[in-house]
Amino acid sequence: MMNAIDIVFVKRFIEAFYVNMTVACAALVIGILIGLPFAYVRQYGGLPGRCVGFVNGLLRASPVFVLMFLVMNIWSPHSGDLVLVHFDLPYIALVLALSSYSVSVISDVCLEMLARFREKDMESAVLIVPNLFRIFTVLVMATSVGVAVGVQEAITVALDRMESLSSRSEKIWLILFVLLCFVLFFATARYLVELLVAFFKKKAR
Amino acid sequence: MTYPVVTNVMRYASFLVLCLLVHCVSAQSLSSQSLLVSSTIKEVREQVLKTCSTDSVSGETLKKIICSGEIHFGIRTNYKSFGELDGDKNVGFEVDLARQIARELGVHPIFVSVGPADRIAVLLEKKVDVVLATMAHTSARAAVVEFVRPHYYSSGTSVVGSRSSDVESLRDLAAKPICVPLGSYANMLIAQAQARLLIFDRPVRMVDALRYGACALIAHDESLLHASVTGPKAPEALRDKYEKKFSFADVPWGLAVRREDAASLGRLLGLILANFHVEGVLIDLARKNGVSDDFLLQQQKLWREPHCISSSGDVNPACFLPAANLTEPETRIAQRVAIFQTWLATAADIKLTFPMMTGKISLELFLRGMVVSLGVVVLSIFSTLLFSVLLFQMMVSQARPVRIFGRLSVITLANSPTILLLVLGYLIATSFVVYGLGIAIFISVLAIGANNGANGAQALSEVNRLKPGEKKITELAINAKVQLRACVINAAKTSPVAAFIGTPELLSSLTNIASFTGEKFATYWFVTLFYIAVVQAVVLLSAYVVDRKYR
Repeated sequence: MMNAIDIVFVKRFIEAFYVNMTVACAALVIGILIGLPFAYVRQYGGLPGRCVGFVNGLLRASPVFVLMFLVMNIWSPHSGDLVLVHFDLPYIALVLALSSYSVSVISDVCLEMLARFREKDMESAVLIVPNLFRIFTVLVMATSVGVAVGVQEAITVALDRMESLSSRSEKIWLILFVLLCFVLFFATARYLVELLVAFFKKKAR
Repeated sequence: MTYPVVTNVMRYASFLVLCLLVHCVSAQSLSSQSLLVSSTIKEVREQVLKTCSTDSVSGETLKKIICSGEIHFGIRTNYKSFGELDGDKNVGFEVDLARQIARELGVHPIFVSVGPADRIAVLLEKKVDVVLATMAHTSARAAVVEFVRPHYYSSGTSVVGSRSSDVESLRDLAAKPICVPLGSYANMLIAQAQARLLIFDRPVRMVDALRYGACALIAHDESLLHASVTGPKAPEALRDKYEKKFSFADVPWGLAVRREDAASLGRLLGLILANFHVEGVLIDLARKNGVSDDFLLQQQKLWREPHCISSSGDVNPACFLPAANLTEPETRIAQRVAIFQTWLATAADIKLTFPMMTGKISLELFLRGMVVSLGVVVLSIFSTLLFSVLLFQMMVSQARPVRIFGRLSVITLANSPTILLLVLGYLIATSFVVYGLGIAIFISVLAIGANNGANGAQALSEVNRLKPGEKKITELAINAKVQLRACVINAAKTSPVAAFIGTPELLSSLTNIASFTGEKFATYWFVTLFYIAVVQAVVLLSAYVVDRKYR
């Protein structure tokens, strides 16, 4: 097992996990920037509200994995593109694909928040904070699909390492170790979300 | 009395004389072949020069080239060792060849950059006179342009991977991710081997992806990978780490001219190339640019045969290599699809093609992809519900060890990325069974079901905690219907991830089709809309079940 997991791998894995976090952050920011105006338009209904609601429904039904491939394959970037100066195409494809989820779900959450604001129920409205944290953890988990297009995130690093191992049992140990890391991270994150929700609910009472 | 030393000396001397004679005869034969061709080229050139002042239109392109003193070549600028830019200077095997051809014609070469997607269009639009751009001679292309023969090169498709990788043949590619160039005919064979294809539109990007670990295996023209990854001129870091695993599908490369120029410019270029083969010009150029010369040595041997160049200085077509027939057989609806595509282009100015409907192999992959996708979605939904109930029953079991195991399983499965569960399932399954379609679907359904089912089990557990008196699982499920519905919808949304372990669902199938047909736009929009429609259908159906049946 030690052959599979050494300090070099652990260091690379942690560095790569930072990529997962940055992708999730970027998708969350895009989600807030688009989701909030979406919610604002939706709350007034009418034709614009219905149109935005329809788009939101489409985004909600779009599988992230497929959208990522769509962006990768239909976008023909040019070397002078501003975003490509800093990020490569798989990274952008993953962020945009995840944004379809973040926009739709943040739009729903903000719609709820705006309704609470209208009812002057400020305490319930602030529940958006733990909700955003929950969305962020879901996004971090979903970033793992980036491995399919070559984003250098944690699972890509783990699978690269797996490829270099000859023994099947070592490969399985490696995957179990990575699985354990993810489980610990997300279980803790979920627990923190529950604590946050309980805290805000208590405050609301 | 005998003098053995003298006898031996005489034997060696006679052998030497014989060798010299053979060499002289063959050299004379070669130089006479070469002279014949050279004089024919010179003759043609002079004849054309005489017509420069007349209005004759026969052999128009050749006349334009000779009379203007310029020949326009469509060449690559991003294909290592064949056609690339060194600063602002064009370099590479094909560039040198173009210069040699121009020298033979007594004209100046002008280079125009072309790519795989536009090289034929550029030729047909008369922006260049000749295309010399790593173009394989296939029967499909030969229907549109004229390939000059003899061919100037030949290359198969190489699969290159890490030295530690155990890939040895196409069969070993099943379920493995492999990076391929857009539009390559060889992708059809790789797709049929059930590999998971990632498409790249520029060779440089693909090699970069290999270097940075985004691709574990890459497949491309042998010539390119030899030059950029495995050959002596490749970077040492790549050469040390990667090697050629195997190669397949050898196809000759040819210069291309417009069909109306076949008898004039095409014939003359053919003579020049035959002469280059005889004289070893191509071998010298290949060695100069670090390109493999195996094919060229074979061709030199062939073209030095007396029957390949006739006494009149013309080339014998019997010595030509045939075009590779790499086109798919057409489907029965191919003509109708073509009519529809034309109508779209003319009536709505939308240039879309639907290769998944026109080629038999593509249609087969496409239909199988649809069926597998729908199957995976349906089975994943059932698997999610089954895991929800199963894990919940474990969580509330009377036996403490089962209860603890159930809770740990739920925490683990609910917090694991589906991709990791798929990889783990793949590793475990392949320890016991031979990997195939059924196993891939089984693992996918299991992983997606376990991941979403764990969330379902948590929802049931939550309801059970709030309503402790409720014992019937159906009643609990009705109370947790909203959360269970979310799990089911999520299972449908997650199902395309199955492509990651080689499940041939629609995304995987259409990626494969796009890789050898080159059509990406329609293909990826189609797969996206298909999955959105499937998820919407699940949303509506689950709403119907939840709202109407269990109101």
